[in-house]
Amino acid sequence: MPAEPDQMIKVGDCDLHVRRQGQGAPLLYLHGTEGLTGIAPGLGALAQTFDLIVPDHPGYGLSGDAAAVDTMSDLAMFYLDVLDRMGLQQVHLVGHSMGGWLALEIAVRNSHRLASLTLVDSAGIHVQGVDKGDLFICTPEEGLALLNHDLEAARARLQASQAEADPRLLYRNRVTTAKLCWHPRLFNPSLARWLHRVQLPTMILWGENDQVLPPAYATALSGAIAGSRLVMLPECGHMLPFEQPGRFAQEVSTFIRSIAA
Amino acid sequence: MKVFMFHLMPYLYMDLEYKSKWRSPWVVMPNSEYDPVKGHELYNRFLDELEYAAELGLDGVAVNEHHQTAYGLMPSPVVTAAALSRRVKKARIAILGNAFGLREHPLTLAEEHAMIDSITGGRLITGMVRGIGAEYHSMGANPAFSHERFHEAHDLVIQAWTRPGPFSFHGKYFNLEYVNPWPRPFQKPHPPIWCPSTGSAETIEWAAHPDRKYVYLQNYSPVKSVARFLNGYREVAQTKYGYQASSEQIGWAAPVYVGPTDEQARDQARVHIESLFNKFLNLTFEMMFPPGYLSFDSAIRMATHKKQIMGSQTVESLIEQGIIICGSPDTVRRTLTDAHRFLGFQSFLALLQFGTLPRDLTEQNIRLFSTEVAPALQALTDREYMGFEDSMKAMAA
Repeated sequence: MPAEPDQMIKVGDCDLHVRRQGQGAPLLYLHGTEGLTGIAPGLGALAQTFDLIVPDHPGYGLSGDAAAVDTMSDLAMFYLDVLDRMGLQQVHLVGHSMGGWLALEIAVRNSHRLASLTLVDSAGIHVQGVDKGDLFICTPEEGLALLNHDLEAARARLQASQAEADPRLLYRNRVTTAKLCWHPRLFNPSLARWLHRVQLPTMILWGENDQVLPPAYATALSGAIAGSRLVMLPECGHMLPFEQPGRFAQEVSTFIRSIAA
Repeated sequence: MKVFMFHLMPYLYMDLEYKSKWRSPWVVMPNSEYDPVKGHELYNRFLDELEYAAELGLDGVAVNEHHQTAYGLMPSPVVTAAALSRRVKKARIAILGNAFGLREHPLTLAEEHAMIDSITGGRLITGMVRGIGAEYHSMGANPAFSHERFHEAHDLVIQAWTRPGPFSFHGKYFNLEYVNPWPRPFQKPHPPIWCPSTGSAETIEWAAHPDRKYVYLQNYSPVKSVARFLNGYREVAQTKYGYQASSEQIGWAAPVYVGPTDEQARDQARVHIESLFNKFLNLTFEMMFPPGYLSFDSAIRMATHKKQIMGSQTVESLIEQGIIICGSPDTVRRTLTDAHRFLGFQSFLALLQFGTLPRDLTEQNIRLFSTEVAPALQALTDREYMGFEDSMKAMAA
């Protein structure tokens, strides 16, 4: 069923803003700490092969708030409602950064509507002795350098896309990120104990130069999720889907095709 | 008017040229810069200074809480207040404030404040604050829940002090089967509660609420802002809550330096007061305003306010804006008496040690302020205050 590109879906008390395009197997993209306000992720290519579904999480972008969502565990339950509400089956879940953490929280709870998991520079666990980059204490300029391998390219990308973004929306995005990720910083201490419950085909896709969640996090996740495939992209930081949109789409498509085969 | 000496207890041996190495004395300056031997000396010196002010007849001494910073060495003001509680015999001891919401367990603070109130026979003033933004970085507390958590901690503490225990408390953040603290506070129903702030509308509305009527204390502000916020408190009480706020409900805290003459005062205070505003008070926007700590509008407004205060201040610019009060005893007395006539505040807190101000000058400042200035202020009542309507007219003009 071809879908409208931009829609509001009522889930509980929340008006969830969803961008939907393309046809094929459903692919739900869960965005990261930075939200999607004013930044066009390199997702378009995926719509050529998939029914691409890209929501703004509650508290981000054009979505409303969800009173029940205070923590990442709440948000996972909320998305189980979203999957039910949309009646989706065999969903390929792709989560970036905080969105990868969210994907894991969903998958350990209930994966009966899921077909696969792609974790891109994903938060969710803590690796002892490997500090994460602090996105909250740095200036916007330092944040850009922390998030991206190629600072100049990132600057140009933001200039092109974020110039007209409403600063109030950007602030609200940040407040929601703080709500979900401030403490413990970008992880849930009990999640690692339940990762054996992830029994979906899983790809872990990482920027080799990620300074927010260094590659040790990729290795740890791949060790914790049986049968997972680890793909490391050179010359790439934390913002992989934005830094290398072509390669991102290609890796995701290849992985999902390989499951079907 | 009640007159207090306030202390921040700065680590005044901080390397003032830190900016090439670290962005701020808050959160990120390594604690290898702290020398415990010097710390020992400073704590004892600063406690002596507060005790001296109390001996010279001030109504109270005040301490506060900050974490992981050279700006102030009082992560637990309860410890400072406890150290003062047996030596300060008559004056009040004000904790301005304690960040109740930053604690995992605010009941421990309720117990500790009740202990100090008991030891001092009811001389404690309890300040309740959220802590500044930097604290949320240092303590791992989530700024996005700061208001909610603070309000719930407040409710728990007030109930713990006033409701016969044991009772259970169930909130969003704090859940206890037994709330039954021993001791209960000495004062009835509990120690007076003050809310120090640099001017958040939310704090003013909350403090002025008829259920609370807490003392609102304006900190670190150009005198124009002090007028706006103190009159703002009276206005909120009148228009939003329908009662007339008493002058007892408002206070002002400012750095004060008294020297023999205006010129000597300026010269003696200069490098030290400039170190406070230009070095110790240097926080980045991200430290001050972590996401959710303030609403978007408040964050933008406060950022503008802070820019006026921090950075490249000189003693002259600070005096000019009325952020500090500095001069001969006559000048300081006149400045504060005039401000009182205009605003009517019944509490004044003088920060008599600031930045790198050394022991001898601090002692001189305490002596001159306590003996030459404070008595005139202590005599001021509402009779000398021009009244709210005239004050609003004067402010508009």
